[in-house]
Amino acid sequence: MNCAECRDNLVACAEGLLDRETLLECQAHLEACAGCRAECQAITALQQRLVARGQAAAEVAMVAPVMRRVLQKQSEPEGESIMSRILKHRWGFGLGAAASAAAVVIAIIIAMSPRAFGLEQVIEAYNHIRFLHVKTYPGDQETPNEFWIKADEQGRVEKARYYLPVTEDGVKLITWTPEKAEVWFQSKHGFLILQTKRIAPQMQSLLEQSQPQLYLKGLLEQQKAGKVELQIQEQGDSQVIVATNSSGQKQVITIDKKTDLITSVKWYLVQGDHEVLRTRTEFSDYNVPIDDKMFELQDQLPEDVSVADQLTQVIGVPQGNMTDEQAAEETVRQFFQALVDKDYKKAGSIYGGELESYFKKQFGSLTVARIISVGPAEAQTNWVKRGFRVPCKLEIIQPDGHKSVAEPSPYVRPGDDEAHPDRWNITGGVSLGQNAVKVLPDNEKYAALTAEQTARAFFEACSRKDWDEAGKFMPYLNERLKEYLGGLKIVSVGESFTAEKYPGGMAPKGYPGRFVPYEIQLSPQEFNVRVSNANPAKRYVITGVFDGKLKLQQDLQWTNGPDVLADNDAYAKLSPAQAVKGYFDAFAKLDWNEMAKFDPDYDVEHDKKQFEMAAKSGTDVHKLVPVVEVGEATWSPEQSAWFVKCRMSQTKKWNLALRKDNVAGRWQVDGGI
Amino acid sequence: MDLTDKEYVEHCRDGHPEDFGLLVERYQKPLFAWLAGWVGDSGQAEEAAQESFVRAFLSLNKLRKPESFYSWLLGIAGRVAKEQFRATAHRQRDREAAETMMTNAAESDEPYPLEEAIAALPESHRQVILLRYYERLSCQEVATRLDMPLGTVTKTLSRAYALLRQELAAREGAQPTVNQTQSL
Repeated sequence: MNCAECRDNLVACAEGLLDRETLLECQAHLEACAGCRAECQAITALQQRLVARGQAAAEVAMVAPVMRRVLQKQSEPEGESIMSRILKHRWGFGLGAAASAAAVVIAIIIAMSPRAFGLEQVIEAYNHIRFLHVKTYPGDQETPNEFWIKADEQGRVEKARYYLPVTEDGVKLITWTPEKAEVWFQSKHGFLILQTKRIAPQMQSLLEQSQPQLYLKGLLEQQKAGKVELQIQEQGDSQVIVATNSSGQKQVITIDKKTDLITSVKWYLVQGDHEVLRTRTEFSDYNVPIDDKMFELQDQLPEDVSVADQLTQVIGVPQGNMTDEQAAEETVRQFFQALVDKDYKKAGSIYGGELESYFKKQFGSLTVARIISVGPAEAQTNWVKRGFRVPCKLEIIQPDGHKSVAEPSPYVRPGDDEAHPDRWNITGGVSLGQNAVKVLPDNEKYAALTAEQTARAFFEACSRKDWDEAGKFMPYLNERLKEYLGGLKIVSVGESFTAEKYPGGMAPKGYPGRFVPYEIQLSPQEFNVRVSNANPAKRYVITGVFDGKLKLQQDLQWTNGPDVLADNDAYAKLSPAQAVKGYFDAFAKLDWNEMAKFDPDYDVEHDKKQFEMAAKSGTDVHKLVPVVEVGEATWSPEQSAWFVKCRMSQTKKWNLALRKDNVAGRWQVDGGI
Repeated sequence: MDLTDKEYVEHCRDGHPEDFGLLVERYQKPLFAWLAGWVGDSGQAEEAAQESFVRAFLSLNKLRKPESFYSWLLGIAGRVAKEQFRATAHRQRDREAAETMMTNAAESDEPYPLEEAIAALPESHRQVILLRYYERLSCQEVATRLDMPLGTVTKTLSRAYALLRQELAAREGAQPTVNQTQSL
């Protein structure tokens, strides 16, 4: 081992990650070489300092107290007003409602010890569970994912079956035992039998999610660490545990009082000003025996299903008489030749026995025209014995006929198949940029657009909720952004400018793209205004603001008044909706006196101050006035008050970051949303 | 998948304050260690750390470079610690006591606060160091958490060590500690 190899290995050596042979070589070199020894000592000394610092902070757990303080600050009454709640987006930092909703959740959590009920006894109850059926409903998925589990006498999972109706691969059915996993890609007519290290952690994770006792143990640990707060309520035949963490995530666990077994778990996320149900899981059929046939799929397969058996199939490329470097290069050459030949089955067999359909999906849309070069192989011995990276050049033909050169650098190594340690397999690094910005069949049309035109086209597509089209301008458009941007209205799209002129210095230095100023109106936000005329002046005044789901956002107490006005009769004749409209009309004119006829003085005063401050800072305050559409009023007998439905438009004014340094030569949205 | 500091900051600004909890989770330990090195008392360090996070949250819209969240947070924490010293001096009506505390802090076992050097690392390197040493994960656990090959973790650590040593050598070599601490 020379000095460079030794230094490459020093961290892995200190971490105990080297195999015995390399470790001995490394130690031998260190004994002989003073320079490397000094380097090793310097690294060890730094590691010791770091370990000491980590140990000093090991017990720190301040997420919950910090978030509680943050929420308290946010919900301090003097910082709130009816309009500061409603205007949360206009003030540029939408914290109010979300924070207060979370604060409400925390406030509800009373100091009732969960030990009084004893979650441990629930965990204990699971010691006798051998069979279990689980259904989960993630997001708005209608058909549940289903799991069947069989455990041994010690409670360890012996066998499992999963039915996953909605996956990237279509409908999937999986069975698992520690010996092997079977995956039936029902939509793709494929079947895979495998035992790889890759699938084990995924299975373990699925199993843990499906076993309520493990989930409860996790909650108890989090509670001890101060990461979660637990509240217990009684509801008929059930105990309900509400677990809330500092990030506003809430879980509601229902336990059957008779059996101490969990019947359902619901996960909520506090989003904006309301709680959104993210996932629901139902547990049933406790100890109802499951036939062993449920955990075997092979006998049930139709004839047209193609089977890949990684347990019996010999995978990889044999070493033969080749040196390691030659074997690494040959393996990579054969893999890419298989892609040239569109022989995805062969490609899969050199990639750890991966399914043919997987490679077809990954590479089917590209044509690999030819291999330009392979190698030379570069040893990667610092992380795995006999591992290599093999830089390659390939000629690719895009769907539009455009030719390009891809330069992947796959990882390759022998020994992944324990039964055939002399065979080499690729383990990663084969991406040919197929997930990057693609050249579209009608690419020219898009490539001809300017940054401004692209920004407009992107917003227009969002406005129509045409996500295929919007995706052409932003390949990583996720569900959260879709929810945020869907149905927007464009107010204006300005002229683009470069990073040098970017206000606020938020662009990275030398940003290669441009910025397009825009103003958009997002989908309206619904809220309700509570009004009552049970007062001496007998006119409708605002007594509270509620969110779209009638959750209280702000209670407005009239400590003084409302006074009987000089022209009180005219106001007493207004209906609940007309009174609310009167308030917002006055707001539009910034007529504070008129507003105070509908809203308590202190609240109006607060808005007035906010507007004065904004005006002082040079803001056009008229742009801050909310555009509110007042709808119908509904009587609430429980509250003896009217609720007037309102919709407020939110606008966003910012700069869209776009760049076009991609193979397709199209402007792509890169940020600023 | 863990997001970058910049993404978390932007989520908070976009109306998802709950994501701030994830930033607290990420930096609570190094921030505490840094402050504890100063004030010497873990209770005071924790109080200062909490106060720093709260102030950071309330000023998040003033943060110009979200990718520099951690350095910015250390700046806030420095001011909080200084206020804490002053308040102690004020309470004790004894200026000397506060000065002694500051001197003691500067003469702690740590020749130069590692956390400041960590703040100067590129984010990808910083995450690996924080997870390995402050969250005390093994390299394999770091690899799983960050969804990267084990080899990339060790390589990143190796590079991070080199950068940290460079940074520490430059700062400790320049003997800055007492003056720097007092000038805060």
